[in-house]
Amino acid sequence: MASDELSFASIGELAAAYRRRDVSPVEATRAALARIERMDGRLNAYILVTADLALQRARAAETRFVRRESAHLLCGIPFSLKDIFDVEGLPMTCASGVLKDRYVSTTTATVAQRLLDTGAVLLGKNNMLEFAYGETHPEFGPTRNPWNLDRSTAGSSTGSAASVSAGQAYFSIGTDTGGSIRLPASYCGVVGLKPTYGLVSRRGVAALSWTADHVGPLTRTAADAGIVLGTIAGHDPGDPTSVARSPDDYAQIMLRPVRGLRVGVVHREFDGVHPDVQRAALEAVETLKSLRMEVRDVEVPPLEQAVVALLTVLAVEAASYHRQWLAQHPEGYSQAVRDRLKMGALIPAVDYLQAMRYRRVFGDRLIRVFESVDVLVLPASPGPAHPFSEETPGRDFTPYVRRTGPFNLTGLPALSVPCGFSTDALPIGLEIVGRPFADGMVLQVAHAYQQVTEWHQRRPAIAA
Amino acid sequence: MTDTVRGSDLIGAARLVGLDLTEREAESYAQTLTGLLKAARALPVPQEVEPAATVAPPEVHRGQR
Repeated sequence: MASDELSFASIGELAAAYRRRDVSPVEATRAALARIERMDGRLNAYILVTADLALQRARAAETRFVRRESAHLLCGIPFSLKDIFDVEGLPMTCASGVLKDRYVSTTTATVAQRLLDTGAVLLGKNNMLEFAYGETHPEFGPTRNPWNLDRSTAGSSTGSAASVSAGQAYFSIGTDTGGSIRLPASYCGVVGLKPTYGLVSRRGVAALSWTADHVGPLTRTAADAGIVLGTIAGHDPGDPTSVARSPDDYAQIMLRPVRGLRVGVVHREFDGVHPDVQRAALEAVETLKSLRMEVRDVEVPPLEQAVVALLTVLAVEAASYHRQWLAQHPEGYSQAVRDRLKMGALIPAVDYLQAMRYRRVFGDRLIRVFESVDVLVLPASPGPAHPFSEETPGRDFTPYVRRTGPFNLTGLPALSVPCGFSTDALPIGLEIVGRPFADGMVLQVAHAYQQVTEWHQRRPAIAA
Repeated sequence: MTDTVRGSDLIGAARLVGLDLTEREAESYAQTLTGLLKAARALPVPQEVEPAATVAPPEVHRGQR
């Protein structure tokens, strides 16, 4: 396999190459580490690179293939984790001054453990927005967009999206509280899946907002996302909100024909976005039609109200989680995050409860929309990646999370899939949303779309 | 309950939750919180509706194919 071909192979392709002995896990890991070494001075996608540990795990995986032992599909596949997951013995910073040089994990997050148990190779931990709360901490700096280094990677799983987009990792695991997997995925031209709330464990993940935090994969294809989801999903008694339910066979579901599936187009949300995003998303709808899916317009309850409720809930829960650290290490926070946390602590309980009551109203109304459709589609972000100059501290998140946050409030599965490029060559994402626990159907639609489009096969120039 | 949050009110409220605010912080927070709380209090919620529980959404069978 040529170097580029190797770095951009899908998980399935790489796993097959391991089994044919065409490529070894050590070669794939060395290639990924070399790309990190070559590019990360510019991208800043990693906070920690665990090269020695990765090579050690790659050698162990290689031994299994040499001995022709049975192995999980992810065995020997190099991946990265947002630096918000505990991995025993490794530092965790959450890209914050509060934890930097102070915190080394003594346990491993359930999701990380499930991946390590397969024999997958952890390359390191990714940069992110400070505590996943919308701001870049000056000590860590921003992750730059592989498609244009002057553009943002949105957030908060910034390094996860950039590393997958640039061929520095085959997949990454991020978290999403208002769009933090889907928005970076959209900006960087990769697939980002926020699974149904409760399907993937949050144990060992630093919280932002307990009731809105989700853990999910960032990959280059929907098929890869299905493989990763099938590995990390499933009940965890260590997470009080984990559902007692076995994960579906996503790889199988993805192969089902999409003909006849009913797609609800949230037309109102195609207005008010950048014209390039509108064009690409409408073309994607036409492509879904060409796959013989039944496309119809639908009305959804007001997303702007859902965002108000989400930001209220999130602000209070974040203030509660950070209360002790804020008292002990106020200097460890950037000014903007400190301000957000202090404001959250000042929201009256009755207003938090009002937002939680509206959450039920909105959720009930949104679920009813699924009586007439199987999935919803809408643009994932209001525009392609914005310039860093627009990222003023303390800015209002509302316009950014308008099309993603409502599905954190309701816990519905939602995915961003690359659906085109702007006139200035920046990726654009289409969001696909499903019923609770219909994560497989969301992946199925995205997979079918990727079978007839080539947006996900394009590579940023920096990765050449 | 007034929708307009004043900086001077916030300084006292902050003490209740163990925070010290400068006057400048209080004025700045008051402006942001006024906007957010006004919007949050306008969310249409019938009186009988209880808060959402912090658990996964129910599986939906209605309309499933």
